[in-house]
Amino acid sequence: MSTDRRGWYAVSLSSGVPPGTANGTHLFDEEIVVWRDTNGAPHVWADRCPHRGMRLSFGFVRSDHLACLYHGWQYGSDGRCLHIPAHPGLRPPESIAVWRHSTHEALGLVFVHFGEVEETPALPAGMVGREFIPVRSIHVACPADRLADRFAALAITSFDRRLEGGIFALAATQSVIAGAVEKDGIGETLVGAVQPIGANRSALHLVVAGNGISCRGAPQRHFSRTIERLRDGIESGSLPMTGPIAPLH
Amino acid sequence: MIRTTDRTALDQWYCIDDLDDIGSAPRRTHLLGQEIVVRRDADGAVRVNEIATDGSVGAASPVEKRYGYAWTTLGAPARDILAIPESHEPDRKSVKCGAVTVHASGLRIVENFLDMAHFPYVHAEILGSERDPEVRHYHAEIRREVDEVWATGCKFFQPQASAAATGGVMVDYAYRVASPFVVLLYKTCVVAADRSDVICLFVQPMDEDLCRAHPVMFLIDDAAPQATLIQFQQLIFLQDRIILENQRPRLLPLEPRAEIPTRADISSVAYRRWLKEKGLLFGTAEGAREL
Repeated sequence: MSTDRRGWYAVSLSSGVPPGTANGTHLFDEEIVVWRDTNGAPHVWADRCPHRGMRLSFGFVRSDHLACLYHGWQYGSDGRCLHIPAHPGLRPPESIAVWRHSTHEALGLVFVHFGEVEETPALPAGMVGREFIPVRSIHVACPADRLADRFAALAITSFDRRLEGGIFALAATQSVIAGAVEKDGIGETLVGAVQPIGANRSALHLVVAGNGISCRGAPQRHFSRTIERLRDGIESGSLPMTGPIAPLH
Repeated sequence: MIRTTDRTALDQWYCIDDLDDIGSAPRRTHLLGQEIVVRRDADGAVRVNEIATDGSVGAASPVEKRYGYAWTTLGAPARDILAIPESHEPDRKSVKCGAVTVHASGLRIVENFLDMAHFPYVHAEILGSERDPEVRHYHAEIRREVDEVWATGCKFFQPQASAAATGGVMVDYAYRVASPFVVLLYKTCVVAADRSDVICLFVQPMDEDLCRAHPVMFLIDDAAPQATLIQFQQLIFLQDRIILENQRPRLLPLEPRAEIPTRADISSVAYRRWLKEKGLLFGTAEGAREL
C-alpha cells in the first residue's frame, strides 16, 4: 500500500457515525471531524473551529449544521458560518468557514480525500445491490502499509480460500482490500479499508458485503475476533513481518 | 521541560501553591519549565528553590505570601504582586477553590476566563442559557497608567449566577487582567446589589502548554457553606477544562489572523495585543515557532 496523502482513505464505518453525531479522528496526523447531518449526509472537515480553535468533534449537530461546543457557532454543509449566537442579529461574514475535505460514502464506509477533488474513489466491482454489514474498526500501533500488507496476508489464509479480487487498488492508494470469502458454503466479500492515522498508528475498518442475513451474528463475530488477533499479533511481534501468516482461527 | 529564556515571562510574580497545603515535606512543581521545590522550614518560613538539572536543590527563589498563597519569581519583576483592595474588607469570605491542572497554555485559560460568549454552551443553565446567548456591547481597553487590560460594562443573562443565586438574573461584570497570567472578575453580588464579588484566577504556567490554575474568590455571601461555594466553582472549572484541552493549537496565537474574533471578543483582542506589545513568547504559538 502506498501512503500518499493525496488519496482516498476510509476514516469510519458508516454505522460508526449515525445521523446527528460527530466523531474526531486523525488522517496523516491531521485532526479531522467526521459528522453526519440529520438528512443522512456525511461530512469530513478539519477538526478545528476557526473562531478559537476548539475541536468541532466535541460539537453538536442541529439539522444540517455542525455547531461548536465552545460558543455555539453553527456551520452549514458548505462549511460556512451561518450563525453566531453571541450576536443573534449579525450575518456572519462569508470569510468565516471551516476547511472541508472531499467525502464519499460507499461499501458501508466513509471515505475522505484531503482538500476538494472532483473525482470519487474507484471501488471494487460487483458491489452494486450488496448489503454492507459492519464488522468493526480496530486501531493498531503500526504503519498503515504494514497493516494493509498483514491484513491481506491474513485474509488469504484465515478468511478463505479464494481472494477473487486480490488486493484492490484504490485510486492513488491501495487502502482497500477486498476478497471473496466462503464459509460453510455461503459466499460473501470481505472488505478491509486501512486508515493511516500517524507514522506508527493505523486503523482497519472491516465490513462484509453480504447476501442477506447469512453473515450477521456468528460470521461477524468470527471476523471480528480474527482481526483482533491480527492486531495483537502485530503489536506483540508474534506475527511474521512479511510473507504468509498461518491461519488465525 | 526546559526553563524558558523569555525575559517577559521570567520577570513576573507567580502564584505557585496554597499556603495551607505547604508543610515540611517538599512539594515539587514547575514554573516556566523550571522544576522548583516548595516547603516550610523548621521556623515555619516558606522556602522555594530551583531544582538543578542534576536533581540537586539549587538556588533559592524569592517568596511572598499574598491572598493565602505562596508567590515566587524566577526573574526580576519591575512590579509588585497585584493589589486586590476588596480582599481586605472585613465582611468578605475568602474561598480558595483548589488547584486545577490543565494541559493547555495558561494564556488560553486567562482568555477563556475573559469570555462571556461560552457561558450558554459550556456552562449551560448555570452561567448562561441558549435562551439568551447574546453578548451585549461592552468596553475593553489597555489602561496604560496601570498597565492592565480592563473590560467594563459587561452584562450577561445567567440562570444560576452563583451558589447563592435562586433564579435567573442579568449579571454585571467587569474584568481585569493584572499581569499576563493573573485575571480577576468583578460580578454583581446577589446579596448586596451595590457591591461586587471578586473572583480571581492565578495561573501558574508550568510549561508552554501545561499549567495549574489557582482560583480564589472574595465573596459577600454569609449564607452558603464553604463546601458549596467550592463545589460550584470546581464544577465551572472542570467544564472549562474540556474546552481548554481541546483547543488547537494548545498555545495562544497572537498573530491577529490566526483565529477569527467577533465583537464579543474585544477583550480577548485587547489581551492578545497587550501580550504582543510586551513581547511575551512563553505559552504563545509564535514563541513555539521561535524555539
